[in-house]
Amino acid sequence: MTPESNDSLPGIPDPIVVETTRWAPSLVWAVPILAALIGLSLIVTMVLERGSIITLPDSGGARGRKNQAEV
Amino acid sequence: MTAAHKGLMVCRTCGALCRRVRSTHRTRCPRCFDEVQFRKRDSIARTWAFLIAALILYIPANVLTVTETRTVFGAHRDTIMSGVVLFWTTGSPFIAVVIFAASVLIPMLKCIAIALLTITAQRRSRWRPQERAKLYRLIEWIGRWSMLDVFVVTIVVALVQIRSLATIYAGPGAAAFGAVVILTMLASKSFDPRLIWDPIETGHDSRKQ
Repeated sequence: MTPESNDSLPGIPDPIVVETTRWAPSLVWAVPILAALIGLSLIVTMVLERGSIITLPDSGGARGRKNQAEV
Repeated sequence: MTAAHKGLMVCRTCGALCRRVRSTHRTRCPRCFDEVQFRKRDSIARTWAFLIAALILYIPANVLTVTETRTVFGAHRDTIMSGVVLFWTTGSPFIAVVIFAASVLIPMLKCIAIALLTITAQRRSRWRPQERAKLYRLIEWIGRWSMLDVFVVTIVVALVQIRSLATIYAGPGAAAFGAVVILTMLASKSFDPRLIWDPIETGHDSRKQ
């Protein structure tokens, strides 16, 4: 605790220093990590929910020209 | 002349002045006992952390479904952009523009603006402090108003609950979008605007608390 030299302004008190256990500043970085995990899980569940793409077999039988159905 | 120049701290609650002490512990105001800080603690690191988290969630907010409409004719999922396109093509270009501005443009500009403020503060830039201060005020003011489409979704979900005919559910995209807005607000709150002016006022070191 070293107050800076400002003897030109007398009568200004020191702040009260409270001894508390501080959170490490690096703990803030848990927020983006958590965001990344949540975002990733959301996208993964979306991809899984979507299911696989089905391609219908092209047998060549169901073909018709425009405005011209074969009866 | 500033309090910092004279080696003083100002209590942001009651306005009392006290001497600046370099301590790793919390310092409290001698008058009202509220926490008094020289500059917001770890301002730049916290702003970055919240901003990066917001940018990460900005992706699912735009990619994932915001509303899921289930009618007797089937289910229909909408993302923000598909909603904008829907309004544009069905003859409501004004609503489309409003939604696009509120949900895509403003959050993105806000993130860019916060990044700009943080980078310049970190580099102790003396570049256009007046304009940067203005930008900071604008971001603070925008804050709550960018929740617009979360409000729309919640209202629509509550209103359209006609059983078995049509129901609208909020999708995961809405939650991600809400998180983006909250995180950008936390980022702008963590930023200390006094850091803009510290490099202009020489004669003290503001980086160490």
